[in-house]
Amino acid sequence: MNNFAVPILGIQGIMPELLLSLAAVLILLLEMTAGDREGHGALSLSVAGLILAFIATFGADGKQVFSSLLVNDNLSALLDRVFLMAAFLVTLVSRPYLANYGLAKGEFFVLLLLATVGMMVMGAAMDFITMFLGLEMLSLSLYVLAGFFKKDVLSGEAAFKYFILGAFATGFLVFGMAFVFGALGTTNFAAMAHTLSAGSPPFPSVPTLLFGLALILAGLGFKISLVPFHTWVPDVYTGAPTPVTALIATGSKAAGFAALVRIFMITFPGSFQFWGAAFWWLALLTMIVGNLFALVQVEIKRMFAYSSVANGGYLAMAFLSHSDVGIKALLFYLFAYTFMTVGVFGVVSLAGRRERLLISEYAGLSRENPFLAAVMSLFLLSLAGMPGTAGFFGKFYLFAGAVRSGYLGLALVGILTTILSFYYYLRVIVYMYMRESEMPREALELAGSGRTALVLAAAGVLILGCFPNLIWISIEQVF
Amino acid sequence: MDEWLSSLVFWTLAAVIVGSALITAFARTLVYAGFALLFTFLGVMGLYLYLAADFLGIAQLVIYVGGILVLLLFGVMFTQGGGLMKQPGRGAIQIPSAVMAVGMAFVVLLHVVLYTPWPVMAVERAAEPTTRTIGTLLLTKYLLPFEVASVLLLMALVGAVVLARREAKEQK
Amino acid sequence: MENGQGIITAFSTAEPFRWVGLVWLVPLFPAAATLLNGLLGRKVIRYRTGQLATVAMLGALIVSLLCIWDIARTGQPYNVDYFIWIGVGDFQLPFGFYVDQLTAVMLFVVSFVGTVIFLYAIGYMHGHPGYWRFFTYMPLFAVMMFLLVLGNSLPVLFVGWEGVGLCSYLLIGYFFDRDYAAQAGRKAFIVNRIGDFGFLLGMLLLYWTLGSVRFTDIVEHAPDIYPAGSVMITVITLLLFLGATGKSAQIPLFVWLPDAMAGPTPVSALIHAATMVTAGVYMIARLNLLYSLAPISLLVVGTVGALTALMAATIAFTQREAKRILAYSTISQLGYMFLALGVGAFDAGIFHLMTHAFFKACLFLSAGSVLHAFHEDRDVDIFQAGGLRRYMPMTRLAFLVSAVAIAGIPPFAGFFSKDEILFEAFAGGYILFWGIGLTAAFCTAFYMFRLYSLLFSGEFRGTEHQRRHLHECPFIMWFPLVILALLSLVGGWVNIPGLFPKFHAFLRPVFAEAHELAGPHRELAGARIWEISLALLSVLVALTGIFAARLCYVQLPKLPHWFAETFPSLFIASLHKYWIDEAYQATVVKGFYSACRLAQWCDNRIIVAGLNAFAALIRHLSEIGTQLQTGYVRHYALAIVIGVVFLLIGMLL
Repeated sequence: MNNFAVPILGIQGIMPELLLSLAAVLILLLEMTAGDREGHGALSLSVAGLILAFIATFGADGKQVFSSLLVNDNLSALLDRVFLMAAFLVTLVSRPYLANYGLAKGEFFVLLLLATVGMMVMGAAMDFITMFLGLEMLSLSLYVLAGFFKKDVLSGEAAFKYFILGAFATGFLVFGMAFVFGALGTTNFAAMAHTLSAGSPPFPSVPTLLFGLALILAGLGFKISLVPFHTWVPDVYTGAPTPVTALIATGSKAAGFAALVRIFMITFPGSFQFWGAAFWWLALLTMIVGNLFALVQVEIKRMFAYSSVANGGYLAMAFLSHSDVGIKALLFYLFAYTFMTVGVFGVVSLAGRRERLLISEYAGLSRENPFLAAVMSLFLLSLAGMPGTAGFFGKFYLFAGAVRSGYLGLALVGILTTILSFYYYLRVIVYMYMRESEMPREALELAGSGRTALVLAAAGVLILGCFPNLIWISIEQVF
Repeated sequence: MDEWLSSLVFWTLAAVIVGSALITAFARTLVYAGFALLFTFLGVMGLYLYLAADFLGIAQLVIYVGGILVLLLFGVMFTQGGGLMKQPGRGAIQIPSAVMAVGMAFVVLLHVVLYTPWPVMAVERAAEPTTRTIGTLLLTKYLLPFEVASVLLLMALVGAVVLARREAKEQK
Repeated sequence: MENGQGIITAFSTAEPFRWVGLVWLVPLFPAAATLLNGLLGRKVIRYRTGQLATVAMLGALIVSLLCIWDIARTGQPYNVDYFIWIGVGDFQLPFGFYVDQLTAVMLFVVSFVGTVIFLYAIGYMHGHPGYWRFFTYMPLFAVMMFLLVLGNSLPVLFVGWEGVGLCSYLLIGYFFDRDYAAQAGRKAFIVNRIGDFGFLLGMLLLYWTLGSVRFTDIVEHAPDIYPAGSVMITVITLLLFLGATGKSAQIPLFVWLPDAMAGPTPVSALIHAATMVTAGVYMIARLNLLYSLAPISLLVVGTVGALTALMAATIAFTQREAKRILAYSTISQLGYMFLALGVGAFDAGIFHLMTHAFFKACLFLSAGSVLHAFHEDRDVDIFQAGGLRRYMPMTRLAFLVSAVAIAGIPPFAGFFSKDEILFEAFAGGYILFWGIGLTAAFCTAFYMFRLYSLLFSGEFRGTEHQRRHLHECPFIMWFPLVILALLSLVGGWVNIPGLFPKFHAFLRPVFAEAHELAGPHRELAGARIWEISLALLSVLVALTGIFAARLCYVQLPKLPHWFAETFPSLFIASLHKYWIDEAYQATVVKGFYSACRLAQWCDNRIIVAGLNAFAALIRHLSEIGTQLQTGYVRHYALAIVIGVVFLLIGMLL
C-alpha cells in the first residue's frame, strides 16, 4: 500500500451525468418490477432526470475534477444544456411516436438517457480516455436506437451501416489518439498544452503529433458528418426511428463539435496552420454537397438528412473561423440548430402513421392539422434564416464571424447555398398550404407530450429569434 | 548478442502480424480469414509481452482470442454456408481507388516514420509486473473512467438485450 | 459579463424607489393571460378565459395608474434598460422602457379603454366558437400595444408596431372561415407592409446618420446633427410618416380600415378605433423634435391630415352600414390628430387622441350592442334599422352622448379637443387647414346624426322576425357603455382653456423643446377674444350639422333623395368612396400586373433560359451525386478512407 493516494473526487462536478444515469437505472428497475407498458413511467422518470440535470448544470464552477479527467467549466455547462435540451425534446416526442408502433418500452428511454450521458462526458472531457469513453457510450446507444424497429428492414440496415462505419471511424480516432499520446507522452489535455507551450518538442517537428491530429479530425469529422465522411447520413437518418434521427442530428453532432473545440481550439490552438487549409475545403464541400443533394430528394427524412449535412458545413465554417466571434457563433448556432432540427424531426415523427413519408404526402397538412403545419412552417423558415427566428441570428452570427476572420469566399458560398436552400425548405410549406392532399393521410393523435415538445421548440426558435442576447450572454461568459 | 536476439523477436512478430493480417484481408472465405486473425491477435500479444507489458498481453489473449475471436468464428459458422461461402467480388472502381488511397496513406506514414525524432530509451530488463500499478491507477487516478466504463457496459448489456430479445408478440 | 451586470442594475435599488419602476408589470399581466389562455384555454379554462383576460387588464390598469401618479407627482421621466437585446461587438441595443408624460397618457388610454372593452367582450363574444382564441389574441394585442408605447427605442417600438399589426390581422380574420374576413385581413396586411417599408427605411436612415435609435439619444443629439430643414431629416421624417399613414389609415393608405370592420366589434372598438390606429400619432408625437426640425414634413403631415379628415367625413355621408360609417369617422378623426401634429400642436393632437378613444370606443360598442340585438356578426344596414330607442334605451343614451361628444358640442369631451385643434391651426396662421377642419366638423356632426337618426329614431324598418328579437344588451355590455359615455362627457374637462389647462401643463415637458424650435407662433392679438369667438363659431357649425341631419332623416325624409337626384355626381362619388379602391385597382394593382407581365416576358426570353440551364446543371450534378450514394457500406467506407488520406496529406505534406 505504498503510493496509494486518495483521489480528489468532486462528485458535484459530475452531478448532471450522475442524475441522468440514476434516472436510467430507475427506469430499468421500473421495467422489471412494474411493467410499464405504455412508457408513461419511463417518460416521467426521463423528464425528471433531464430537468434535474439541467438545473445541475448551473453549478459549473470551472474546476477540474477526478484527477483532471473532466472539467466543469462554462463551456461544458453550456454544451450540457444543448445536449439536455435536445434529449428533453426528443424524449417528449418519442413516447407518442413509439406508442403508435406499439414499441413504447423503457429500454428506449434508458438508451436515450445514456447516450446523453455520453455526450456530456464527451463535452466535459479533459482527457482522451474520458472523451473516448463518452464517445463510445454515445455511439453504442445510438447504434442500438437506430435499429430499435427490429421488424423494419430499413431500421436494421441503418443500425448496421451506422455501426460498421461508426466503428471504422472510431478506429481512426483511437489510432490518432494513440499517436498523439506517443508524441507527447500524456493523454491529458492540460498536460499536453503545457508540454507544447514549454516548447519541447516544437510543433511542426513532430509528424506523429500531426498524424494523430489528422486522424482525430477524421474520426470526429464522421460524427459531425463532414463531406466526405457524411456518406452514412442519408441512409441512417432515413432508416432510424425519427426521434433517434433527431438526436443523431443534434446531440451527437453537437458532441462532435464539442470535442473539436476542446482538442483543436483549446488544447492545440497552434495546430490551426496545419489543418486550416484542408478543413477549408471540407467545409466548402459540405455546404455545397449538403444543399445540392437536398434539392433533389423526394423523401422528407432524406431531404432533412442532407439539410443537416449542410448545416454541419455552416457550423464547420464557424469552427474554421478560429476566432472568438467564430466560436461564439458556433455555440449560438448549436442552440438555434437544436431547436429547429428537433422541431422539424418532431413534426416528421408525428405527421403520419407510417415512417418515411414523401414530401408530396405533406400536401394538405394545413387543413388536417393546422398546428403541425404551423410549427413546421416556423421551423422551416428558421432553417431558411428568416428574421424573427433563431435561424436568422444563427446565420447572421456565423457569416459575420466568417467575414471577420477573413473567410469572405466561404461566407459567400454559405450565403449562396443558403439561398439555394430556400427552395427545398419552402417547397414543403408550399405543399402543406397550397396543395390539396390526394390521399387521406392519418396523422397521429397529438398527445400531450408531443405537442408540448413542439410548442417548446417553437418557443425556443421564436425567443432566440427575438431575444438572441438571452443565450449570447451566457456564451460571452465561456471565453 | 542481446540486441540481435531482440531484433529477431521483433521482426518475427511483425512478420506474423502483417502476414496474417494480409491473409485476413484477402482470404476468399470467411473461416480462413477468421483463423488468420487468430495469428494477428497472438502476434500483437507477443508484441505486448516483448515490450514488458505483461498485463496487457494477457488481457489481449483473454479478450481478443478467448472472447471476440471465438464469438466471431461461431457467428461465421452458424450463418449460411458455414463461412465457406465466397465473398462477393469487388467493384471495378473500387480496387484502383482503394489502392491509390492506401498507397498515399502509406507514403504519409513513411514520411511520419522517417521524419519523427523518435525518443529512444532503454527499458529495464527485469521490469516488475504491471498488474499492481494498473490496478492502483484504476481505483485512484482513473476512477472516473473505470466507473464510466461500467455504465457503458450496462448500456451495452441493455442494448444487446433490446436487439436480441424475441418480441412477446412474435411468439404468439 | 457586462451584460449580466446590466440586468442586475436595472432591478437594483440604488435609486430611491419609484412606483414607475413597476412599469414592467404592465405588459406582464396581459402576457400571462395570453399564455394561460393560449395553452389551457381550449380545454381547461374555456369560458373563464374572458374573465381571466379582463382581470389581467385590470391589473395592468392599476399598475399603469400607479406609474402615471408617480410621473405626475415627480415630473421626472423614467428610462430603464432591462437587458441587452441584440449585441454584436460594438452594436449594443438594449431592450428597455421609457415613461414620461406622453407615455403616461397613452398607458392610461390603452389600459383603461382596454379593460372596459375586455369586460364588454365577455358578454359580446359569449357563445362564439373559438371564444378562448379571441381571449388569447386580445391580451396579446394589449402586450404589443404596451410595448409600442413603452419602448425606449425605435426598434422596441417597432416590435410593438408589428405585433399589434399581427394581432390585428389575426383578429380581423377571426371569422377565418368567411371569405370576406380573410380577404380583409389580407388587404390590411399588404397595405401595412407598404407603410412598414417606409418606417424601416426611415429607422435605418436615422441609425445611419444619428448612430442611435434610442429616444433619449435622439432628443439629445438630433438638433446638433440635423440642421433645421435639412434634406436628411426631411427624408427620414417623411419615411416614418409613411409608416404612420399605413398604421393610422391616412391618405393614401387608409383603404384597409373600413374593410377591417370584418372583425368582431370589440376588436373594431379597441384596435381599429381607440388604440392601434393611433400608433402613428403617438410615434410622431414621440419624435416631435425630429418633426420640428423638418418644417416641410410637418406641412405634409398637416395637409394629409386635413385632407383625410374632410374626405373620410364626406364618404361617411352615404355609407349604409353602421360600423363602416364609424370606420370612416375614425379615419376622419385621425386626420384631425395629424392636422394638429402638422401645425405643431402636439399636445392638442394627443388630447384629441384621448377624448376620441373614449367616445369612439363608446360609439363602436353601442353599434356592437345593436349588432348583438340583430344577431349579426358583420354589420348592420342602417336603412333596415330605426326606432331602436324604444328597445334599447341604454344603448341609445350612450350612443347619443358620444355622438354629441364627437360632434363637438360643449361641455362634452370632443368639443374641447377638437376646438383646440381648430384654434391652434387658426392661431398658427394655417387658415386653410382651419377652414377644412371646420367643414369637416360640420360633416362629422351631419353623418353622426344621420347615423343616430336612422338607427334610433323613427319606426323600425327591418323584418318582423328581427323586431321580435330586439332587446337591450345584458348588464355586462351596457355597463362598459355607461362608463365610456360618462368619460365622453367629462373627459374633456381636464383641459379647459383659461380655466383648467391641466392636461397641457402635464404634457408641456415632452414638447417644450419642439415648441421652442418651432418658434413663438402664439402671438395672436387678443387671443382670448379670438378663442371664444372661434369656439362659438365651431359650436354653431356643429349645431347646424346636427340640425341638418335631423331635418334630412327625421323631419323631411325625402330631402336626401332630392339631394341625391339633384347632385348625382357628388352623391355617387361619395358612395363609391371617391373610387379610391378602384383607382388603386386600376393603377397600382394593374400596374403591378403589367410590370409582372413585362418581367415575365423578359423572363421567358433571357432569364428563364439561363435559369433552366443552371437548374439542369444542378439537377445533373445532384443526380450524379445520388448515384455515388450507392448504399453499399464498402463504398461509404472508401469515401471515409479518401477523406482521411486527404486530411493526412493536407496536414502533413
